[in-house]
Amino acid sequence: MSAAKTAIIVARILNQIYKFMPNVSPNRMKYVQEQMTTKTLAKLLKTDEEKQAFINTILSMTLLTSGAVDFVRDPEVWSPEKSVNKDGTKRRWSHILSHGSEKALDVLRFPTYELITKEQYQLANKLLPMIGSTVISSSEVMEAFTKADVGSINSDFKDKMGSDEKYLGSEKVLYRGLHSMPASVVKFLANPGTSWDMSRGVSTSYDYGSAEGFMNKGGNGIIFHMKNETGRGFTADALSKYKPEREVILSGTIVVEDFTLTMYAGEEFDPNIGFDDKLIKIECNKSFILMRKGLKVIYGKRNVDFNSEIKPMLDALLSEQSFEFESKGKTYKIKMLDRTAILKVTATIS
Amino acid sequence: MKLTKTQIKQIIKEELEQVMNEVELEEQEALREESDAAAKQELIDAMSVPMTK
Repeated sequence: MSAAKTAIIVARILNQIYKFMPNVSPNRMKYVQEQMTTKTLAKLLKTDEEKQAFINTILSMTLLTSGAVDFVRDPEVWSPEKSVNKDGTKRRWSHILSHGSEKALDVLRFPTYELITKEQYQLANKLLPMIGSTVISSSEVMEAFTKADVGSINSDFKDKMGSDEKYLGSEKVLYRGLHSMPASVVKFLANPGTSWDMSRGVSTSYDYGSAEGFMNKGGNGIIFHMKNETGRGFTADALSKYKPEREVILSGTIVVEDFTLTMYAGEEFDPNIGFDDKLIKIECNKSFILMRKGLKVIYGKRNVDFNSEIKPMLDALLSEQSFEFESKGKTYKIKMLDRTAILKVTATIS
Repeated sequence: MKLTKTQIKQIIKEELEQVMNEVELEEQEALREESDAAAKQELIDAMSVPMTK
């Protein structure tokens, strides 16, 4: 097994350790978690190469989840003046590491008090695509867990690992929310078959609520439901400072399978006056359109051909253009109201 | 075959229309590609940012 894969399996076990909430006092829990961390690292990271791979994995994950994303994306824009905290103090590793990650790095004698460097952002930029595309199985994690023998420190944890075994591999469904997106992005995604390369690493969550909450922060919200059949991804989760987000770093090619779009439009009845104030709610997916004005259905059709009927409508409305259609003997000319789209995308990642 | 001036004008007009349509289609396609590339980049940038930020 490569050092990089060993590092990711060890990180997965540590993630479980820091998710574990034994029914003991907080201090006792911290003690137990730290004991298990020390033992796991000692038993599983045998060579310097494995230790370094683990350190690099934790540092790269931390820079994406808690560091400056702009520097991860383009390390060349990094400067010592920009690498600061909100209060203006220089940013050190200890400022952005989670408790679990910091403990693990301390055990491996990584100087967590040091400032974060440009070279470390360059390393994260290089490693995240690989970390996010790693596939590990539950059995590989369980095998390593047994070898580490950390269950002997706490039998409750051993039982928990046993009962959670099927969840120890990568998550099979991941979610991602986006908000305040331009209509052009909604148009790009509301098109089955659309694909794009996200190999540089994307932040996702296995918790639908986190993604939905983020989507609802602004108009033109998008939520992805990504099928991760191959089991890619690195579960940052409890190793990230933002533990409740249940974050998973993922990289690969995303392909849109289907979508559900809801948006509002106004009816243009006189170009000089503007729009009718009674809104039209449009709901559609790749084979269905429903338009309602108030409670009245003004247009509805099932089994529609996407390319000839739905796409032209979306192309016009999501490009700030008017769209004209006839229904029940009446001609409607409508225009989308800004930032009213909610798009739910079902996609696959491979 | 002899062509009258009117026929020649008509042929030129049709050919011109066809070329113009092709140019328009190519321009539309180029605009679409440009818009898709911009949307893709926007999406990649947005998805790299953790949902905590």
